[in-house]
Amino acid sequence: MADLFTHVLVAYTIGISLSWRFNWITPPYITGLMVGSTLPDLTRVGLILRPTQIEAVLGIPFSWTPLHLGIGVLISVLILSSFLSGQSAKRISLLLGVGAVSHLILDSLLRSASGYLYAVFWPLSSQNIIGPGLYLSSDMLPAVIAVAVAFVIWRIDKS
Amino acid sequence: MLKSGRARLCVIAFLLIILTGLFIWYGSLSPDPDNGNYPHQEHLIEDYDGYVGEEVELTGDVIETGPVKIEAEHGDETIVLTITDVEKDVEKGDRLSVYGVVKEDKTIKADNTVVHPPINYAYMYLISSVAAVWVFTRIVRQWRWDSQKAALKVREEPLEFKDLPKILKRKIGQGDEKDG
Repeated sequence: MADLFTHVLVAYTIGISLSWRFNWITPPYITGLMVGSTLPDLTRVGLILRPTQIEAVLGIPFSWTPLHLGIGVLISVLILSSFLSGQSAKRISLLLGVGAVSHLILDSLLRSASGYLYAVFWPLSSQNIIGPGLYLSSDMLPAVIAVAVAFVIWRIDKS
Repeated sequence: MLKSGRARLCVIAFLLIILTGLFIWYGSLSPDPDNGNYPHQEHLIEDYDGYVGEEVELTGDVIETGPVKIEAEHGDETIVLTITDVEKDVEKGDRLSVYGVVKEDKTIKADNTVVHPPINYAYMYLISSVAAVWVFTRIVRQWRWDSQKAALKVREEPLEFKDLPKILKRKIGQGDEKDG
């Protein structure tokens, strides 16, 4: 993951830009896009509910990783959209999906020691994607760039 | 989208069961180097000798720098590994990710390494919690729970923080009436 702040800012920027083209995308819908961009990082539950502890207690293998893959993101979106009704349900589901995909794309640019990142299409394919290795999730530069771009888009939107 | 509460509960339960199945399935996968999924520290902790000569990818805390030694953990278990051929400057306390080949005597010959200074982790958690607060605030201001439709609805007017005391008072007032 890039840091969550970068993900949310990028989603915010995408949301504002889309709102210029689609006038139904109002601030509450942009929030939907931002929520979507946090979904793959639900894997961070693992910081509290450690897979090793779950494995020890239940005696079964366990990994939170699917939440950060296409299939897990799809299920997260479906669960959230079941709490919506009417036309907003479809629109919010779509935006949750756009946000989550933006997260996975940003993370595909991350650097790792082997170069391999994650098997985004699992279980259809076990192939881990290999990225250009532009930054680490703990780098500060992505957030700085995201803030600058978001600020410019926000200013254009206000004017 | 879903008419009755029961239908929704069924759908959510179904989705959660699938998700749990995926958690267990993924957890049971063995390393798959051909697809870029190399063995990690947990595999070396389990059976070091079984992986000598193979490529691994793992992360640990630097505990010594001459030669570089890292302590990699998996749950309650740890393994101390000597890392040779590290071409970057590392300091004690850094987190080091290593991709390399397993040698005898708890030694990894690094092909590539990535250094994460600890201060960057502190920054990452701080800035990520700012993001969480931002998104949460937006949800509360712009959305409300419609208990009749049992669904989230967009507020006609976003909630203003200056109105918060008034709203809380009204809520508490309602509670009193119900009690009485």
